[in-house]
Amino acid sequence: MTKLRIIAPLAAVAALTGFYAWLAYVALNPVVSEAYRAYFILKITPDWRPQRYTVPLDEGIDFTRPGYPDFVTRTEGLSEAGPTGRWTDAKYGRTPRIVYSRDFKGQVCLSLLVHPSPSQVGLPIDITFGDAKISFQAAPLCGWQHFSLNVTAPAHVLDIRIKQLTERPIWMPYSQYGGRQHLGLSHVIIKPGHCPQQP
Amino acid sequence: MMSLWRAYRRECLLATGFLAISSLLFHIVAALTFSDWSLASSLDKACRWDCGWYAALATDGYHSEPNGHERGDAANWAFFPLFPLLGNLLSQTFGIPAKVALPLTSKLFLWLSILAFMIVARRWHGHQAVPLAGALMAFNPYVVYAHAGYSESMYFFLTALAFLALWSRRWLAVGLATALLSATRLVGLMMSLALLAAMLRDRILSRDRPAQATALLALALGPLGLAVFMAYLYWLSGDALAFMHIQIAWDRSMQFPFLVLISGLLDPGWGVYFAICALAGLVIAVWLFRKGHSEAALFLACTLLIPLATGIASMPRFLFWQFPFIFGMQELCLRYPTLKRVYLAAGSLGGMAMFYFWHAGHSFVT
Repeated sequence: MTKLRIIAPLAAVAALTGFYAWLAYVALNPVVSEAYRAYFILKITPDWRPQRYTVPLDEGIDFTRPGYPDFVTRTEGLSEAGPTGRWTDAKYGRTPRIVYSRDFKGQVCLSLLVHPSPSQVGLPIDITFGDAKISFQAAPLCGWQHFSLNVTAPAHVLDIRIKQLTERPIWMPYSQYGGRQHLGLSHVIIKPGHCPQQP
Repeated sequence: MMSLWRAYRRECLLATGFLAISSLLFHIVAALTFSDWSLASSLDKACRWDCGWYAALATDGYHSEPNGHERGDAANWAFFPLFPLLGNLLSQTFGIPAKVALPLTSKLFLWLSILAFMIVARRWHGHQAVPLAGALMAFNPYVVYAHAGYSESMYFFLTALAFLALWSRRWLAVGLATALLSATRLVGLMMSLALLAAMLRDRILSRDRPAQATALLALALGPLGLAVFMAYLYWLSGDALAFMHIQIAWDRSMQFPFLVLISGLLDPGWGVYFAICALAGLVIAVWLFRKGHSEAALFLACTLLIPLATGIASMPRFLFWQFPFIFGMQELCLRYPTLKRVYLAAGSLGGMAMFYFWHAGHSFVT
């Protein structure tokens, strides 16, 4: 009888432990879509099921429009679309990223229309696309900038690295934007071939 | 059953009286606000905000994917299953709409909560403390949730049961109550910590083997309610933690609770009041600890700090429906009669004001 009073509870404990272990495993390995993972789990984008629109590749991404063109899979580290475009936003990740749905290889032309926050003026902006890297300084009023890149291996992820000087003040956990947004993106175009000659 | 009735007849009658007074006040305020004296209409209109989510959940079950709110990112996964399940049971049994069944379910649990709290008061302080216990529950400034189809009264009742079992050293009963608590609200799981603390204080490891095995089973039972819910969510959505991840739809994200508290204290609006409520709860937790109620103190501190980590907005609701907080207030009221008069007067007036704000649709009451 005493043995049963030990074995029965321990058997139940073993069964429950097995169930909890399985649950811990599946909790850490959810079976969800990439969009769900990005929005709900990793929280790297403010867009849940963003609108999709169709434009030619050489028109690029117009960040003042809500949603994305259909050649973009998703973005990371960018705010919601606003009248001036989207801002890099540390709330959604330290490295802003644009993931394209197709690969690029060889000569590509990257065109950017960006506007830095005052704290970013004069600081370097590093852009990586596959194995190609460029760096330029943020001017107060950036116009269109064009960069010819030579991408030797197929690439579809554009990373933007900026020096993030300021952090959200620790006593203001509710501050929406304080010290978090650094670089505004109005337009980004990547297209195969060389960039047009500037006058 | 008859022996239980004989033992607690006075408490049952008092609980019924307190429930009747509280319900009457709630429905009179509703009738005056809407100029409509129909009870069915009053019950239907009482069910708003979270109760609306519970009602949809009781009727249609859990969503298969997020679709709610303007951003389309909300789903009812944030709402734990036990309360809407019982609401659905009442709805099916009596053939009434879920929006009516849920407020009735929460009222039923208010009656059970008052009764359970009176039994606790009698256990600790004798018969003379029983009416005060009933008054503390019925004139709780946030009693509105017990009339409005929220899970708070059920959560309170289960916590009271768990503590009654804990104080009687009925470990398995505590484990079962914790399993039900963890299927009602996430913080219900914290009862497992209180159980562990009590076992360690009781030196359970130095007892005989059968006692140790029973204690281990009681501990293992605690998370079962939450685990079953998580397994269901995994089957439904592929994400066992969906109840947590979906909080993004309500703009809730994890932060350091003390920073949220400081931020609330610096807030020029309602945040400062919510922060003061959280602080009052933590002060009561410290006081309970000093008075030897370490398990209740631990439970109260955890159940305040966890929701505080996701925001300060609903702190009064979380505080005034914590069993250890009301238990602590009872201890203080018994010790200081002036405090008792002030607290009950302020609680009654606050409760009436909350009834009005609820019916008038002021969202700060949520």
